[in-house]
Amino acid sequence: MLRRLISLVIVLWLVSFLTFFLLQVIPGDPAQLILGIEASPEALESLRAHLGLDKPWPLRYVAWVTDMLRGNMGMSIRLERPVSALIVERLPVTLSLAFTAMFIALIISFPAGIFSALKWNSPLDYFLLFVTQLGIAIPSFWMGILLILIFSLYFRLFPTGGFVSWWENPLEAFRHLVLPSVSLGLVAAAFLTRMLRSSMLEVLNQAYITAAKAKGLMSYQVIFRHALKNALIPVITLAGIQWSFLMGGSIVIEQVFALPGLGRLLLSAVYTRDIPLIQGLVMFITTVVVVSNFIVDLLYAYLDPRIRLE
Amino acid sequence: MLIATLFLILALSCARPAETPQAKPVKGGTLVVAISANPDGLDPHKTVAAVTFEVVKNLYDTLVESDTLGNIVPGLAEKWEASPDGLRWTFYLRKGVKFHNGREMTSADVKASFERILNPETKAPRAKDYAVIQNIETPDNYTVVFHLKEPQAAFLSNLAYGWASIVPVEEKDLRNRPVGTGPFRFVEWVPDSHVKLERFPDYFIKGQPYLDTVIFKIMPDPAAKLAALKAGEVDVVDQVPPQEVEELKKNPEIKLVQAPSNGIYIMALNNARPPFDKKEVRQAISYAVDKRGVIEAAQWGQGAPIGSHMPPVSPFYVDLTDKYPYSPDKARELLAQAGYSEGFEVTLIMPQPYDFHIRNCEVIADYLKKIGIKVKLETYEWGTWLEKVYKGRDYQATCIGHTGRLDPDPFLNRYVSDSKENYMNYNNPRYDEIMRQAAVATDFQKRKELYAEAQRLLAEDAVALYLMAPLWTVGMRKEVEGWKIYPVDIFDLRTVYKTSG
Repeated sequence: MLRRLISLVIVLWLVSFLTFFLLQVIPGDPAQLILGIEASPEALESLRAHLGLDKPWPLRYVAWVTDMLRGNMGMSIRLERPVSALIVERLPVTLSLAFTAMFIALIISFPAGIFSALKWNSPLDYFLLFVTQLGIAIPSFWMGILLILIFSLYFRLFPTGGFVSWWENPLEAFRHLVLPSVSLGLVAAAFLTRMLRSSMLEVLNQAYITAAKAKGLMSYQVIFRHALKNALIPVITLAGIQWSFLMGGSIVIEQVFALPGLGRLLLSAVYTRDIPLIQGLVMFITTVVVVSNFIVDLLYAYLDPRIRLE
Repeated sequence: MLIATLFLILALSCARPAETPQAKPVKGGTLVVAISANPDGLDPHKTVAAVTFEVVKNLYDTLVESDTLGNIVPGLAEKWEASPDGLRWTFYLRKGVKFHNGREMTSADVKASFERILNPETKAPRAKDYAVIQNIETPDNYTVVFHLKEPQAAFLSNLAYGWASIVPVEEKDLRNRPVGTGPFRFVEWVPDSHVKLERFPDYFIKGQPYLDTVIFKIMPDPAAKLAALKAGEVDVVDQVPPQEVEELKKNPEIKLVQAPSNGIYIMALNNARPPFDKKEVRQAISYAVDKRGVIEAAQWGQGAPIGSHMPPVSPFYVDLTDKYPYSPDKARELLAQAGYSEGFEVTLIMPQPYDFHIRNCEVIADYLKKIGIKVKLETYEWGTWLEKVYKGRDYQATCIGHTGRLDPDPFLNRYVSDSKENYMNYNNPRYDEIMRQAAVATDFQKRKELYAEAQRLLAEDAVALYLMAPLWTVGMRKEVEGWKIYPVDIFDLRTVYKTSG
């Protein structure tokens, strides 16, 4: 357990260093991007000093890290607001989207994966294999645009984009989330279904499953108590990765559906070289990924007592 | 001026202005306008982004304004006069103009606004345009006198741009809580989602604006924007991509307002680096590319060809499009003369994510291949393009556009040899001389002649490949009336109304 926590900290530290360093070396001057191309050299110099960009980078790095540990993620150069406030503002959008997409992915993939494995080589299985292959191949943004054309334009069932917060109007909030979540969720479901199917097939062929059947256990007991729990391990890994991806901000889906989430914030931060904002967002997303992996590890231990967490 | 986001529209100066016919205006209603990007702050002094001014024009006013044909008309100032030597400009302000916070606007506010622009602490990107102001006097509450360091022909038109808006300087957070004299006042801005404005009842033009509420929805994806327009979720789409125009024309619920834009697309050439340091090579490029072919292939025919650095809508425009008629043979001949009979290899840089420039470059590459020039296409992200190509001038050729201005001086003086914006490295003492004279000349005819010669010089030296002035298309639902198109980056919603809904 302790070892895992230490490696978590090390990963976070490495990412912070790498991000900081990379941002120093890429072309693109934040002061220039703010003041525009007609700015005088004096104006640029004074802005750089104001932003603290004239101090040597090791000093700036240390200052940034110590600030972060105290909860201060710095000020966005472009938006002139604290980075932490910006993240908190966008978080509900990305969280709602990620949760709903994940939920859709799970309720589809679990039944589909299990049935596919149980009815192995049947027409149903082949059909599901075909559909999931499509889902893996189709990019989510294309799915998104297609869904807009069908359900927003043709059927006028859902809005074409935008975000309404749950506090304001739960029904509208839900309506605005459906299409983007489905675009993301279906694609994730395709991957998860495949993974669950192959994992289940592997487990179902094990000796202990035959033994359980021979003992006279009912089919569903076999499936859920014995087979499924063991089949879940690679699936959990995949789900953890997908969750991290969703939380990282699905930039393209946010663009297509005009959702003010973390993804678009990060994209515009990169375009404008808003270094504090980029760093803050990268560290936030990294933390989410690292913590998710940690939770996945804990789930392993619950699912399979043979895996110990030292 | 570079097109950060291309939102330049200008009425045809030779036909009727691009306006929707004036039926009886209907008061009230909400207008939803889809724009392509998040404004970078609502403080007019601190930004140059076109998309920001689409929103911001409705919150603030300027001393003078541009009408749809590019003429300067009264804004916050009722009338003005210049001293004969051009060093003193006096403006007489309207009385009773209110800011959104209730206070009356007076000459002190004009003085404070310009001092704010010129103050280095404000970090105004356009401060340089107003550096010619020596000092400002306010003899009474409604009179402002600008003393200039030297006469400047573009001074009056420079006051019409959104970045010279008059603001109440006591408001400390104009970027997030804008306060102005404009027809609408600020309600809320949810970044990356929308900006909401409501009618300002004390606006100085009685009876305007007609709309109760305006919502600018930020929708970056073109397909989603158009779907929203067709579904009636938005009323106006700021920019219809050229490939969608034909299809939208057939839609009975949608109407299109189109006009040639006050801007140009070019392929810029680095005149200081081989192979484009030789005039014959540059001329060969102009002969080798069929401009009309590029317009057809890359912009679906939505543009007019040009021959120099000036759009046809400008009163100073000289038609030089046929200086280099399409002729691959002549191009090869010139290349041979310059010592490149075997052709050569060149890198063409395309700025991302500007699709129109990328498409232009791709079509041009094809034409150049036919005369033996091998083109390597490279894409640079915008920040990188600014740093390496525009500032660093480290390139051979690149496809880009330039936004027109109300006055030709700021548009053409980038070619002056020591200009910081001379990224094409043009060096012609005669050109420098012309620009110097024209900048201070006050006689319109004289300026017209000088700028005509400037354009001819640029064409003669084939400084860049001058492609086209693109056609601008705004899409809107049939119920929207009163939409006017201007030669500057704005959406002026004062005259807009909806006939139903």
